[in-house]
Amino acid sequence: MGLRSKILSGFVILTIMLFLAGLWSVHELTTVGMSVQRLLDDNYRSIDAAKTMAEALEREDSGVLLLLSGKWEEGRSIMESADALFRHGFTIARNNLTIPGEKGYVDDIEKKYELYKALWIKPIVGTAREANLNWYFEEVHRPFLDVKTAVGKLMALNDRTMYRTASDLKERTHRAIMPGIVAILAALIFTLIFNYFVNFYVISPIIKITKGIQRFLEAREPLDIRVETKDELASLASSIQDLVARLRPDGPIK
Amino acid sequence: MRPHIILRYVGFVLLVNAFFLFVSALISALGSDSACLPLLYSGIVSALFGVFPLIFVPPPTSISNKEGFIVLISSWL
Repeated sequence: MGLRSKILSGFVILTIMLFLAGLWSVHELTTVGMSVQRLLDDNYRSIDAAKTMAEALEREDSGVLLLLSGKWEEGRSIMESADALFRHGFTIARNNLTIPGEKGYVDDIEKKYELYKALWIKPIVGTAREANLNWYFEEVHRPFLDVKTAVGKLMALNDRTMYRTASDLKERTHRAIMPGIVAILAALIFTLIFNYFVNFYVISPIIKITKGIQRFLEAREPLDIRVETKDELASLASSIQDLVARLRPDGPIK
Repeated sequence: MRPHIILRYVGFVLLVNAFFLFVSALISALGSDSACLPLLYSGIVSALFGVFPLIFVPPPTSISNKEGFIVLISSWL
């Protein structure tokens, strides 16, 4: 193999190493990016929906208390808007089932909410229930707390999953850096080896040939250069030896 | 002692290592394992490091005992 091919092969190998490392780093970073998107889409959306439902429940509770105090119009208005808000949050949560077992939590919320809603959907103002706090605490408050707890469980489930995914992301980011570090170290070691080979197989023979010619010119010492490889430098050494051999021992060629 | 000869034979060992890393990567790929890419990358780097001395260093006519021992130890490392 010629000198050109040898030196080219060195640079090609170095390029391949760095290219592969770059490719792998890009792949890992892309995966990290997709994981972040999934984190937001899957978990954060469900957490946001759960917060919406919790807020709606609080408003409904306030609405029930307003109805108990006889404020029919204001109470009903709040109940209707809160119910719509709850339904909105619930729809988002139901359409965003991404964690194993999440469906069970959502079904539980639906069941408990229907039970709670059945209590305040019937007329309160102008009935025996108006201003009846005992009825509120005995009949309404417990189902309200049950729905709220169910919503809290859904939020906690998504919180835990988000935390786990975020921890995985941290590990993935570390893995994305590693190929780069490995590639730099490998490239450094490879460069040192390449440098050694270039010195030993290219530079040293040239220096040997030059010194041999100088010794011949100064002291007419016979030229004896040995080059290990079978490339252009071997041809050069052989040609110079032939040239020197043709020179007469007592002077130049006439 | 000739370091380039040692590097040549360590290169052979790295090529053998690379072969088995590729086999492991293949098995990992067939088993849909996450270790496939790291094994493949390690195999390629080993193969590149192994083939390079073979390009530069011509085969020697003989190697000394000392060189042989150093090749052995370097291969383990």
